[in-house]
Amino acid sequence: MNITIELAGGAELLFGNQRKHEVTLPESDKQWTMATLLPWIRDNLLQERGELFMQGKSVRPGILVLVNDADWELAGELDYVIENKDNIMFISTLHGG
Amino acid sequence: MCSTASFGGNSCGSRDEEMIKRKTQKRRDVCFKCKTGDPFVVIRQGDPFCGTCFDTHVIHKFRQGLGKTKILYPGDKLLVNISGNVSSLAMLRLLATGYDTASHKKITADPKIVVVDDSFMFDSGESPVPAILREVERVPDMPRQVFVVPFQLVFLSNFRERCKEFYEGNKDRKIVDFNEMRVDFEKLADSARSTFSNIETVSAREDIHRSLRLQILSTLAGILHSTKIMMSDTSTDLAARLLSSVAVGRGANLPHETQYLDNRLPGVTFINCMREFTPKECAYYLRRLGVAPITVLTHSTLLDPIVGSVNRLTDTFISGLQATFPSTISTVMKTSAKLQPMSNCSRNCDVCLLPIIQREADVTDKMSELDLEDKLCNGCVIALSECEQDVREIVPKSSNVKAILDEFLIS
Repeated sequence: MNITIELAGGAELLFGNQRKHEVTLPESDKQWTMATLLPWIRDNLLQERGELFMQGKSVRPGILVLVNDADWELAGELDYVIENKDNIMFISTLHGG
Repeated sequence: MCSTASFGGNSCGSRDEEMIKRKTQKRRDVCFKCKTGDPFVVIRQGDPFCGTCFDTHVIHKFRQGLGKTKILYPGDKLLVNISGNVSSLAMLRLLATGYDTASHKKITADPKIVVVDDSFMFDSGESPVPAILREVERVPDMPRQVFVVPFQLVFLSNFRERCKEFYEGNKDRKIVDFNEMRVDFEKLADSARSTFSNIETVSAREDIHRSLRLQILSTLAGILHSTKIMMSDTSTDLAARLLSSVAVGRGANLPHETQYLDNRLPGVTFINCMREFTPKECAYYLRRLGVAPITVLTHSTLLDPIVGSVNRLTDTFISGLQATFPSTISTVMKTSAKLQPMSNCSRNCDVCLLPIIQREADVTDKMSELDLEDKLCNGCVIALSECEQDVREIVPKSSNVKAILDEFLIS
């Protein structure tokens, strides 16, 4: 499954200053949801300071998540089932990361 | 008390839960306002808004703040402080809606956009100024004159006079770039970097940095004969500042630090016009307009959210609470709006410009030796006592406050 992950507002500083990542998620028996995607991003894309990206099972308060250009709260947050070619965007509103 | 049996096995609790669930599910499908549009963002504790209704909501809120306080008059010169972060870019766009020809009540104040460039202080060093200028250029409808001020200028001994001289010679230009002044900027930048690296804690660094930024803005306001300065701190920023101000010894000046209008310096009004906005609203508004956020580094960027700095810690605390209890920030803001500024102050601090009310901290020997104890407020004494080098590098040599006030009296 191919998805696009975009980072803005300072969140990209945690990802080697790269704003856009085209990634292929490994095949899995279970469906990919935001709850499984976030730890995968932390383990595979994040380059430093995991605690600045995630808090508990979700993103840190202050980091906004957009799924296909709309608020992830509309899509069910962590329960959202990821589909092929989805665009997931993280915008940090925390003073430069 | 409700009993489980009396409702045929369903307790009130589970009925409530079901009702809330049904209500939420129903609401999420369609815009909360117009009941027809596709939802775009969830704000106000779970209300989904479509893009159009969201735009109307934020523009109305912005104009309501300015309207209630009746702060802007036709012809006012209005300084607009743009740092490049989401809230400042949203503020700029919201202000521009007031100049739209279709706008019901047009804003007639004359906006002067100020960009203070402090990027040299941080390792990555890439200046956000070109990106900010591009963004300012893209804003439709609004008349504008832009001022780019390098942060290190504040360390120049006759800062105000030199800036005024430069402005007088370039006042008709569309972009007045103070980088073109005949000043050794590298040397000043080195001096600023070394001064800040000699301040022990990040909290004190952030505190002094912000104070010096306010000095630059108010000095420029004086030079331009402007009496109003728009700041873009959001409700989250101000709620965190309210708590951290108490911790860093600025508790006596909370009303100035957190209310919609900040009259710390007689004659100048700082307008916290984004006070009612959350960073989320700002970011989604920019998203609607296709504006990409600009990354702006600060002293606490990439530092630990807990031990990074006092401000960072309170920010983490407030945002964490807000995620669980959505009325946290609005409660803090409502409480701060009730505070009254103290009136028994005779002069303003030379660094942060706040009124000097009562100093409870022990004035360090260093301050007394330098004859500074009467010139600084409690918060600045605490922050500057962490500075290992001569604090006179930071405190203006001649009282800048007096000069700024004189400027306003003349105008």
